[in-house]
Amino acid sequence: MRVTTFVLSVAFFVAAISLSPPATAAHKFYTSFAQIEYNDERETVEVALRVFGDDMETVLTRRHGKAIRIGKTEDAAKVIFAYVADSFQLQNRDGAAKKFEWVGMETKGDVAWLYFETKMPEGLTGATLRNRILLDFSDEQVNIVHLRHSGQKADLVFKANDSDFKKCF
Amino acid sequence: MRYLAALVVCLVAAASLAFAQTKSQPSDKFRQLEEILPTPNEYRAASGAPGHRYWQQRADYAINVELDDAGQRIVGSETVTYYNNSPDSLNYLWLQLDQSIFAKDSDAVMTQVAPDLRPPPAPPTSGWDRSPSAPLPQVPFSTIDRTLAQSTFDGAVRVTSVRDARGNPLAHTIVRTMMRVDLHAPLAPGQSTAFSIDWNYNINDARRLGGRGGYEFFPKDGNYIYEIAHWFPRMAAYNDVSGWQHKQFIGSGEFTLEFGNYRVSITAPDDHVVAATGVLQNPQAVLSQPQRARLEQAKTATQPVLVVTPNEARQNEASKPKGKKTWVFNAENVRDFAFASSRKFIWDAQLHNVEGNRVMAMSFYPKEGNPLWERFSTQAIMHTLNVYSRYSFTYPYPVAISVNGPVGGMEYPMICFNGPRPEEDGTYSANTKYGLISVIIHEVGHNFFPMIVNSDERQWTWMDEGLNTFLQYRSEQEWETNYPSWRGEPKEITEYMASESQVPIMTNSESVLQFGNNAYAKPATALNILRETILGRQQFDFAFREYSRRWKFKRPMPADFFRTMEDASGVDLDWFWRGWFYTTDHTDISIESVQLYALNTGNPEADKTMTRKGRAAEPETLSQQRNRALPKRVDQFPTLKDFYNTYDELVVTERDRAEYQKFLATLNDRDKELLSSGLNFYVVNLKNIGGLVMPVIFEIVYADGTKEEMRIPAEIWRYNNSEAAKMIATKKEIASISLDPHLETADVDMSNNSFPRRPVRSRFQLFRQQTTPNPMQQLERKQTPTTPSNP
Repeated sequence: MRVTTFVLSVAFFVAAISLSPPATAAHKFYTSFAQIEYNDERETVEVALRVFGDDMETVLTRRHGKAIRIGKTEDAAKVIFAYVADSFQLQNRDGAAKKFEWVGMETKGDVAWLYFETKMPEGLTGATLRNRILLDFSDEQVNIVHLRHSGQKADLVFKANDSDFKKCF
Repeated sequence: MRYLAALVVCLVAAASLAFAQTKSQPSDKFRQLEEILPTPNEYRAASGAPGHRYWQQRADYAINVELDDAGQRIVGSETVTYYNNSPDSLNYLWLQLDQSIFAKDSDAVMTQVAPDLRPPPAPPTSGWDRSPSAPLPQVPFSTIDRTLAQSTFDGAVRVTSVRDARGNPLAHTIVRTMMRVDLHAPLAPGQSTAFSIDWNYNINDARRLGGRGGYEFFPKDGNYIYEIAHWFPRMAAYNDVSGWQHKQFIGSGEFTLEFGNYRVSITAPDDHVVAATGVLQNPQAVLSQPQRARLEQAKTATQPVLVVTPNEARQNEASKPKGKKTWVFNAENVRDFAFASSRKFIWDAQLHNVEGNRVMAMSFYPKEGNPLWERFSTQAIMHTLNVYSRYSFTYPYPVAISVNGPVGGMEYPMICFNGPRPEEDGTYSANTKYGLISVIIHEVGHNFFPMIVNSDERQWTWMDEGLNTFLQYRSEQEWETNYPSWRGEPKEITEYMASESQVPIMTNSESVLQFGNNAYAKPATALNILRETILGRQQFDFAFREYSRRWKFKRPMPADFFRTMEDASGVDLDWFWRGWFYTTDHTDISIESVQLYALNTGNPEADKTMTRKGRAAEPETLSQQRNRALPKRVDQFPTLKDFYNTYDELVVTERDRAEYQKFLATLNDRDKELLSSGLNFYVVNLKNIGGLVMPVIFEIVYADGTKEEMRIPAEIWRYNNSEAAKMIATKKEIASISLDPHLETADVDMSNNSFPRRPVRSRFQLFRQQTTPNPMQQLERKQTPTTPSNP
């Protein structure tokens, strides 16, 4: 039997680092949720993204080879946003990548809400999105995206095997 | 009020329009649940209580086990005494070997789905993780590590002997995580049988392989913490609903077992400290004299007393064992037994009086858990016992233990394993602190559901996780004001409720999507809504306590819960269970329009004036405006004008007045009073967009600035599940109406909840407009660049 060999890269730079255990109750689950709203007045796409803080910390710690703790590490927001910019990608109807600007973050329990936006006068019609947040953390991760644009609504779901851009509207 | 269309119509005429519909839609959402629920019988009554012939099996265990610290193994032998209280003869018995989930070829391992290994389709925007030349497919580190560990680790349970009471071998067959033992003769109803099993297995590294128990290795001092669970062959449940509950253990559906008494002797290295389900029987053999004195002191202490101090734990860490010690525990009326063992353990204890039951609350943790654990763990245990006992039944066991180790959070009778620890430097974030308190409340709370109210988690996760998360929320809110609970409040569940990829709560444990939202947060929120909005606190608490007490030390099924809550509250909740537990509908009620109806009094003076006003209020069309100035032929030739050019139908005639007097003469005083009341009739047209039928809660603001709340039960939807109209009769003028003003129904779209429509700010906009950011946000905002840096 002939088997094709593929080369794999492992999504981390440094060897395993001892991490504090996640604060979960009996079952661990892996979901992120994003609300994307188009602001007609400001012509911006506004994103509120909910993730589990401990999962985010684990991924960022691996990425940077040093412990990253939300609310403790000095440049945590910068590090988080660099990761978001890599994993949460929006293209306009012509396929041009949109660059997000960081607005801020807040935490509640083990949940962190991240806020960012981008100017987009051309609107979301025909735009495409790829949300690979934390898909490099667990193969059970599910990313749900809720979109609203001038009275229209849409839902997108990204799972481990979704590496394609998906059409917003 | 200019927003509402002022219409003058006869009310009788308007009502008759309702009959002009075609055939009505069936009111499915209010169909009785008895079509779905199992038929009540003598084992399970229609009231939701155990039936008059309810039965359950019983299993007692005597176990000797040795923890091999050098080889990370468990070696055990047990004698099980099994009582057949069922009306059935049993030819064979089934036991669980759940630890065999760590066999190399277990269902859990074999049915894992592959990660996506296709290369990413678009080039990366920055070069963080990827080689600059070609984009390689990525795979999570944890997946590789777990796969590697699974391929080298054999954690299957090896059963070395199964013998009857006389020592003769019994035939047995292992089916992955289950084992069937064939009896020499059928076990008749009312009889019991005893048999013995010897077994051993390798303990899993819980950090690499996961698991609901396992070990954690500390490279710095070379020691282990063991959290040992699912560790002995346990009698599978046999009951009137599923027969043998021997669904394979794949990982999510935890377990259900039989109640019984345990005597367990645990042999461990002599420098280990052991914590277990039950009461220690031989403190003089395993504890030093000062330790025994401190344990005694804990019985009258007002704060936790250190039984093993940090100093002693440090000495143990550095020591080498000189031999072994055997710790003996007795536990009565429990459905399982777990223990933890380590030379790293610090141990604190405080005797706590729970409604008259004296409970030793204890925590076991390594120095790595401090300063969090010494401060919060035992306090959180006592708090949990207080709150849960108040809302269900008095905690009946003599001890309650919380242990820190590799497991994030997992519950067993009287003992639970909780993961959170501070940073190495001893500092911790608020998340870690509240994460720890919450997980301890949750896992200690599991003593009530499902350790005592013995629901079947292999089948229905929500029956314990949902009920427990609900009480966890209430315990958190009694810990401190504005405790950051993230499950329980209706407004926190709306995103999940609106999401696409979900299944009903009534889904088997292993097939649930979005596990935490489905089986924890949604049922917890549903119960909170049932308590606050539908039944009220008093009615709900009475019914919930009744359910807890009816099924304490028994095995309830979903129908028993649904039926008891109705039986005790006196409210038909079938629509609620149907909507929240059997569908994925969500709440989204919209105020589509509001109409104002005035009463046709029959008085020509009043009615014709109102009609005139109404006509005058109608806008002039564009053509009418432009035609106004055109010269008209009748003005040019006035002879063309006749009676109709001056006739005004709205001038009140003598005939009108006479008719009105005739009409008045036919009315009685009450009719007359009604006609002259000056009432406005507002009809609020509602649409049920989300599908879930829920109460309609109006906040009405009048033109004079006063407010009124109107709470309408969900039955307003009983004739038509998707549209309803509510009439509000008032002498006052209404300025605005809004739905769900206190955010109690989990309405996912607030933008259609007001009339006139009000813009609703998104979470993003609310965040942006916060005038006073919290300390963390200030920090984050200060340090954040406006664009990402691309290294």
